[in-house]
Amino acid sequence: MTLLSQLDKICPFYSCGVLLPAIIVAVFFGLSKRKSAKTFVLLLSAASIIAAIFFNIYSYISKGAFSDYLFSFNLLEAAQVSFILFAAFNILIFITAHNFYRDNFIQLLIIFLLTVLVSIFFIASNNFIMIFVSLVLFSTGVFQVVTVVNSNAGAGQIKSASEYIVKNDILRFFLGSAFSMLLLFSGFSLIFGASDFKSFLQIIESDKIDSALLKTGLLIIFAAVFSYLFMFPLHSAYIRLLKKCESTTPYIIWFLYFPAGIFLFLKLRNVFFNFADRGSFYHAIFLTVAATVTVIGGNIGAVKTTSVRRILSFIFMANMGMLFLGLGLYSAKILDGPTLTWLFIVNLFLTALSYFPVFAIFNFVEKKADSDSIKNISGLARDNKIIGACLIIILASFAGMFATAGYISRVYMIKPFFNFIVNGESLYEGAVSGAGNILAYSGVALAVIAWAFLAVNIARIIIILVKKPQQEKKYIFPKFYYIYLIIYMLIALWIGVAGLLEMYGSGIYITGYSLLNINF
Amino acid sequence: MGLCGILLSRRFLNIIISMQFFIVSALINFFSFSLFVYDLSYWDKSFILFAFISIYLFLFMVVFYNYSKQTNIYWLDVMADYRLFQSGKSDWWGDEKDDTA
Repeated sequence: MTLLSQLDKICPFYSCGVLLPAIIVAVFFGLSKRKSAKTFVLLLSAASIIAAIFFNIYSYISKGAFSDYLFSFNLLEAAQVSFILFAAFNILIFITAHNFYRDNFIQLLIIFLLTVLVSIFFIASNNFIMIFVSLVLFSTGVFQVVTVVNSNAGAGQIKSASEYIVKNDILRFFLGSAFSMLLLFSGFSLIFGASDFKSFLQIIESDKIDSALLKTGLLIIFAAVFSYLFMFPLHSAYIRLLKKCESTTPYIIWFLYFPAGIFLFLKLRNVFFNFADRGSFYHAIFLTVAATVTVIGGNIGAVKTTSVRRILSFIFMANMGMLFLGLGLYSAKILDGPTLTWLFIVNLFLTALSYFPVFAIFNFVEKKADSDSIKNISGLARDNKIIGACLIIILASFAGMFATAGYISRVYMIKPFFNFIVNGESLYEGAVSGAGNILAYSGVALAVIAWAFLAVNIARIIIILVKKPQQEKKYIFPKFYYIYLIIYMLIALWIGVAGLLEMYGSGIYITGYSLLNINF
Repeated sequence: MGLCGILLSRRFLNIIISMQFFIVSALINFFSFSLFVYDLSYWDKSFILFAFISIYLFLFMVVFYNYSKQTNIYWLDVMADYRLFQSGKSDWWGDEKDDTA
């Protein structure tokens, strides 16, 4: 039997097939504190994640979509797995930078790789049991990684008040997460009462879709997603934890924990589309108002604070509010389903491409200045021109500047509005005359305001970066930061130019694929 | 009871106990639907088995973490507030209030 036929048996889990041997090998070095062993396991982990990204894309291209009783793997799942692995590689870099000299570094890597492995199972899961179990195990993994990086190795007793407060914040955050899991459990129990459904696909195809019990179950599941993502006004535990935790934790929360919630919603998207298509006019109003509250709440929080960590945490929340607004726009019939799904995935990649380099620099400054005040980055772009230029371009891209990666994502929220003005295309059909268009206008106006608000917050950071500092304080960055930032800046510009060429009909795909026509 | 306990309690143990109520409520749903709606179903038993293993593993870890990291600072224990979604003004406006103040 050839190797290839053996590999066919694990399709589409080639990525897991690469990660698992790395974990097993790492277990043999689990108790070692030697630097050489740590370096070996680190290189093995990095190589396995890179290989997993390659095999994930390769398996989808060569074998195509896959579906069975427990799992379903399409282009959307392939993109999600790629995102998680890309984020995992970046997080691995920062875990190493901040924790390499800890005695339990190898154990930390093992837990981290296991969490990534479980997240791949969660992404591919299709069946209710698999969705629930893999999500809970994934959250358990994230909890373990967060507690390990925030603990002093070997010290059972807490010695300071600040350490105790971080512990309480971690507990509060993950109790909130456990609450979401329980809501999910409860929701599934009600769906079971409506009919013997085993996946969300069966719900859409069923004639019992209007059953009150089923609707209640689905509503509770949507509430679970909302609570899992700590959306405004449930964000207290999230904001407090990220302000005080160890430096790697924000990356783990932003790019491992939160994407799982978004992926859970994407599993539910067809159910949402079904209800939204048949939903009432007031349903669209409710979603738009709720999204507005989230976006404004997040952005106002960022405007008023001087803590860089809080600013980034609030902006992240506001950014998720914009996705929420996308749901409102779908309900108002401004966006279609594939575009909304595309927007979710693109926004996730855009956030990662912006947050990884930006927080890396801000975190470096925070460590040197021993404070996360925004005043510490004052004049940073003057003293370090390369770092400053890269930061400004990356931040501008995140805000949606023309010819950058962010522009492609942001402009899609308001593009239908331009089509309406230029071509006279209708925005909302099916509502009482006049009211539909008012809702659509409001939705698009809110999208523009949300964008503007986000841009103001980013502009504030950029102004502080370039303004003359009150006291001379220079930071000397290691070469790694220069390379890291330049790579991300070039990616932002490359995708931005590729998107623009495609958007304005040049027919040139410099990325090799059409970025705007990926149909998830 | 479970929902109120989870949302309103400020003590760690109260929240954990409330979560048990929540789990039991879902369990009653599963078993009662299985008993009265379906003649014979293995789906709910499988779901409950796997869900219980995973959710209790998660909760066990949370509880273990809490009790493995203790402090002798009495006033910190007394002041600890675990209300999950309690949001003060400083959580969304301005800088954070110092917890130790």
